[in-house]
Amino acid sequence: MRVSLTWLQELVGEHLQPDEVAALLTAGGLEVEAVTHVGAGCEAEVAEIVSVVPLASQDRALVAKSPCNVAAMGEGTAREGSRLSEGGVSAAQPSAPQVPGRVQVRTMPMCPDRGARVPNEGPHRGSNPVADAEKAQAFSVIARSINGLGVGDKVAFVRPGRQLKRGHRIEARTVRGELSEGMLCSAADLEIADNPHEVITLPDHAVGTLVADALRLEDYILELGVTPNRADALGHWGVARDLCALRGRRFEAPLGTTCASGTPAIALDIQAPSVCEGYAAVAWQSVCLRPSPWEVQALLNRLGQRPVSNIVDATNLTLLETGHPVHAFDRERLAGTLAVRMAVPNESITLLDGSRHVLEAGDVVIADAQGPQALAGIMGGATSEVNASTSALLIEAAHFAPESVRRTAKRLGLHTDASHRFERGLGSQGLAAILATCARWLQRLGAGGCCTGLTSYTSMMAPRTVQLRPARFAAFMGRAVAAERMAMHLRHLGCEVTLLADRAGQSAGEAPSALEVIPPDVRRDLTREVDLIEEVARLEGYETFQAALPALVGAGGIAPLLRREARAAAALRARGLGEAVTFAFISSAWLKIARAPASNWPLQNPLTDDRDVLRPLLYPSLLDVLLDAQRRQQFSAALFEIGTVFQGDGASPKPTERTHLAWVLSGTAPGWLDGSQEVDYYDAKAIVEMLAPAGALRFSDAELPAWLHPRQSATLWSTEGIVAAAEGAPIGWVGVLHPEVREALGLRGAIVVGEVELAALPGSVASALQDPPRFPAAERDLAFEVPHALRAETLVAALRAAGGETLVSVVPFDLYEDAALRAAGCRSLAFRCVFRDLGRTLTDEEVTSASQAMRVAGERLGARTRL
Amino acid sequence: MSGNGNSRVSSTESMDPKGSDERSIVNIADVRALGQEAAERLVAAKTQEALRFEAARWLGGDGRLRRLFERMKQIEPAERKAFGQAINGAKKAIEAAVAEAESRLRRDSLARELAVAPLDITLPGRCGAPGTFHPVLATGRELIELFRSLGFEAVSGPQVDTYGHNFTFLGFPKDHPATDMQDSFFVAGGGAGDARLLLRTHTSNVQVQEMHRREPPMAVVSAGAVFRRDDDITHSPMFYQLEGFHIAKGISFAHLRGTLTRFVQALFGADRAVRLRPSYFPFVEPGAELDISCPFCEPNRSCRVCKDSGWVEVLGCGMIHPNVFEPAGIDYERYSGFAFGLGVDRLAMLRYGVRDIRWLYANDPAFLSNFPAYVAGGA
Ligand SMILES: [Zn+2]
Repeated sequence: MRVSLTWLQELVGEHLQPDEVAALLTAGGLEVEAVTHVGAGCEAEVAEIVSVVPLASQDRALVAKSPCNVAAMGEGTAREGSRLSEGGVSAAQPSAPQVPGRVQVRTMPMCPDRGARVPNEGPHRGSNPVADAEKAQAFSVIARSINGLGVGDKVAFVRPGRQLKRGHRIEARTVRGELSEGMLCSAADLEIADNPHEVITLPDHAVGTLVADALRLEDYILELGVTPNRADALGHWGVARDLCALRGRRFEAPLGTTCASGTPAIALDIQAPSVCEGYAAVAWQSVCLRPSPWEVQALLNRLGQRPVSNIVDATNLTLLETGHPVHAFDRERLAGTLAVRMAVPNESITLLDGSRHVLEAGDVVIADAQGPQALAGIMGGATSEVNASTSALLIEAAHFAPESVRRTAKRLGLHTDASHRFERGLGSQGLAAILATCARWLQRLGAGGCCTGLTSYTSMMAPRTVQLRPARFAAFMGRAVAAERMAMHLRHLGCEVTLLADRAGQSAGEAPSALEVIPPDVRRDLTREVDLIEEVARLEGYETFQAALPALVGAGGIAPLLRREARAAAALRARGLGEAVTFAFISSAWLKIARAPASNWPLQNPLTDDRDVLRPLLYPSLLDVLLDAQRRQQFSAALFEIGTVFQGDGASPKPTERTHLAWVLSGTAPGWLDGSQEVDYYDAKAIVEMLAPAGALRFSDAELPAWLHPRQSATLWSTEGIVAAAEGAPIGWVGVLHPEVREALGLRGAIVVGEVELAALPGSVASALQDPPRFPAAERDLAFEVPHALRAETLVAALRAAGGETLVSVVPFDLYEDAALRAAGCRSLAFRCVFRDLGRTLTDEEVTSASQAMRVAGERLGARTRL
Repeated sequence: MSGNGNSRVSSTESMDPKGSDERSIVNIADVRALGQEAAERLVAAKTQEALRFEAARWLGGDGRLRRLFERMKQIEPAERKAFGQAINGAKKAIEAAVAEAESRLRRDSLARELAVAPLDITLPGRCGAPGTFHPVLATGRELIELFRSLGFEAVSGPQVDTYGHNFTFLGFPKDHPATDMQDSFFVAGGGAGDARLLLRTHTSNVQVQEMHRREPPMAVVSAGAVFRRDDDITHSPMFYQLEGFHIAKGISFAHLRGTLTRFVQALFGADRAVRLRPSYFPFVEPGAELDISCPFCEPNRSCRVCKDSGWVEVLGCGMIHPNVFEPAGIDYERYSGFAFGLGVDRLAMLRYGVRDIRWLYANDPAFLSNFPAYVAGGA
């Protein structure tokens, strides 16, 4: 929300520096996100028109390109979706065609000290105040529009060498051979209103006055980030209340203009009291619709409200001042009793912004005999909108239930200044003061007329009483604050506070045991003790509470799976893989092309169609990353991700979340010295071997997933991990991406993938500790031609069985294939066998005989010994 | 040097026409000549193998000196002693020559090894480059370790949770704008109302999970992915948060401040100033935001990170709200606790100078290569 510092200063009656106010409010919980200095350096002055001559029409295009063109200044005025009426008499209607012209203006000599009134500006370039004063104070200006200008009109004029605003200096310039000395300002040039064309006139100000002074253009705008609990701070009063409390005093809101009339404004029927605690309305006769004074338009514009007409501006200013929305109906368009009621289903309303809505039973409307005239707390209706012919008003200030306003506003997509405030919870007790404030603005903006009636309804509610125990405060905040001091803070916020003594027999001098607090109606967020603790704490200042370390309650443990995640990630990074993080949601279409199982968990409101379901496995996400990389001509990649997948069938109440580890390698394997080899199954499998003892895992071609190469892939099986593996299901798989899937996904080159459920991986197998050997080992190499049907696993098992007790290990060290072997359906496999006895050195004969037995065992399985 | 060596010796011998025959040696001079010949041949040996071969030929079990000894009985007894001494002398000389040749060859071999053409030492190693770490995960892991060192236990929580666990049990009022701060992704298949499934919008659901699972006292920390329906330069629909809370008897705002100050100073350095200012989160009260004095400000330069305010917002925190204790069955009068939550992405972006949050989750290989996982690196 935007707050004007000058307005705030007026309300609190103190001249405070912007930095000071920002620091104070921020420390108190109303965070000032930005402070903008506006109107600074504007040296426009009031000048009188001496003559006006239209330019020939062919010059128009050229004049329109003048530097005064608002678009060229690159200074848009920010808009905050105000949906209030833009009808009525707008001060600047660019309806008539623009007529450019030459305007002669007269102004007063510039005071020599005037340059000094602009802070932080160096001496004016090339301007000599004394020389200025001696010059004739007449200037000839080419204006882009002379519409409505006449001799004697007073205009906002910037003379050559002076600034329109800080950093925007106006110089005399030649327009098609004619000299233009300075600039006539439009409302947009002065950042007062949107209209960039019409030159504004200032009938009430003396020639020579600085426009910035006359229209009070210089201000600081504080951008406040108001948290949703602080409905009270969405107006200048609320901010002033906090500011005063933070400065140790109580804020008094300025008085409005109360209605003297004793007659009711309208017949009122509150049919839905559950959603309307209070409703007040005044009638106002003989109003005169006109633009608000420039000064007020400028203020509205700074605060992000488009000036419309004095009536609409008065309601907007009331909202900005009090934080409570008010609405003005054209009284003459209302017929009969005004009701606050629930909408009749399928009833419709056309709103001020022209949108038409069909209502539902839960919506609340203000309706007259003809039907809904306003959507309660959101927006007025078009039928009873204030317009140029309006002469009588009915101005409403009301309370509407936050949930109800929110539901309707959300459903209809109408987020308005009013709904923003009602949703957060406004009070119902101060409606008369709010209408009085609106009346004050109507008077000030020259609406004329007078108040002719007042109607008001309030449901009686018992005041909310909240207790605050000083002892509780001390324990909770780690520091005691005296009960009287707490009472003072709370009173500054508008609370009524009674100090309660401890039952009977308490002497006068003893500390009170509790404070009984009635919060002000506008602070509906204060409902329990801890709310008051927070109020006292923030007014004391959070910084006044000391720091202390609590006693430890835990030993800093970590869940086993989290530990495993960290270790796996470290190992894979060390091996040269990159750690990826992809979204938990993915495209269902992509899953299908990747042949992944369909997700059982679609999102109901995905942001885009390509992220519409929760992922059942990780590998499709990594293939997506790989595709992106390949599009950037990066064909060698090594990536892994440890992430959550969402499984379980649709019948379960929630997805089963599992932590998976997936990896993908593509292109050439790392290692430039040994020739570039494309990655293959064994590169992918090597990752698994880092994760868990190979002996505890089983590699099988059973249940191979459809996205893997049928002859170059394996499933992983295990029975024991942190969690038990699902019955009859592999814990993971590894292999070459199926060529058809690769093609369908648009991927290229060699691609291997693997995925495993991290918690299902078997841990290290506990076994008896092996002492370091004292006697040397002996090695023998065995080489076989092995038929494809005979797997290494089977062969090694047989070799181990035949090698006897002294055989320590059988490790393959060479795999070789050539055309002849391939033709024979074989490959050559060589194993290094290590023998050792713990108690002695083995003899040559013993080792030879053992390796001989192994050779025989291999041959028995169909492997042929190679020599 | 057993059987094989002998056969090789004899074959070489037969191919050596100049080789003298010890059977013809009868006097001491001949023995000396033999020693001389041996010395010359040893000196001529060019390789260790040739040397070994020569040494065996002269000194081996079946070598020529041995055979000379065997001829002793044929020598006149009077000359025997001198002959024996001559043979011993020849043997010693040969042994010395062998030793000398051995050491020469070793020197030569080392010299050759050192005399190779120089390698291009600037070419890369065979495949030593490490992988890359992810800046967000690395920051998360570091934060978790930090809080573990302060006694917090690290746990994980569900990413898909119920509306109740994500909002209601945390004290979010129904139909209140507070839930607008966190626009949710809803997941099909849940129930209605509180049973509706969504992707958690914050890691605070771990508070609910742990409070329902444990009895106080407890100090728990948890990091992980969270989800909100936003996608622009400052918002990613998925991002990372870390949540911590400490519940025990007598926990106060002072403990919140103490713990978080310790954390900030461990992470950003002991000279960081810490500022708490009031803020609002439905599940804490008093609620606060914690700012640290900007670590990026440089004298006389405009600071992009803190926008010249001098402070950088790091986390949200506060005393756990009774609305959170009550549904978990924790007595608010007996126990109190503090909780905090921070954006791990935000910290990672601050640390590594990442300007657009979406880069963090695009997994662009070139981007990730900014974060090599060196042992001596930061993460
Ligand atoms: Zn900074």
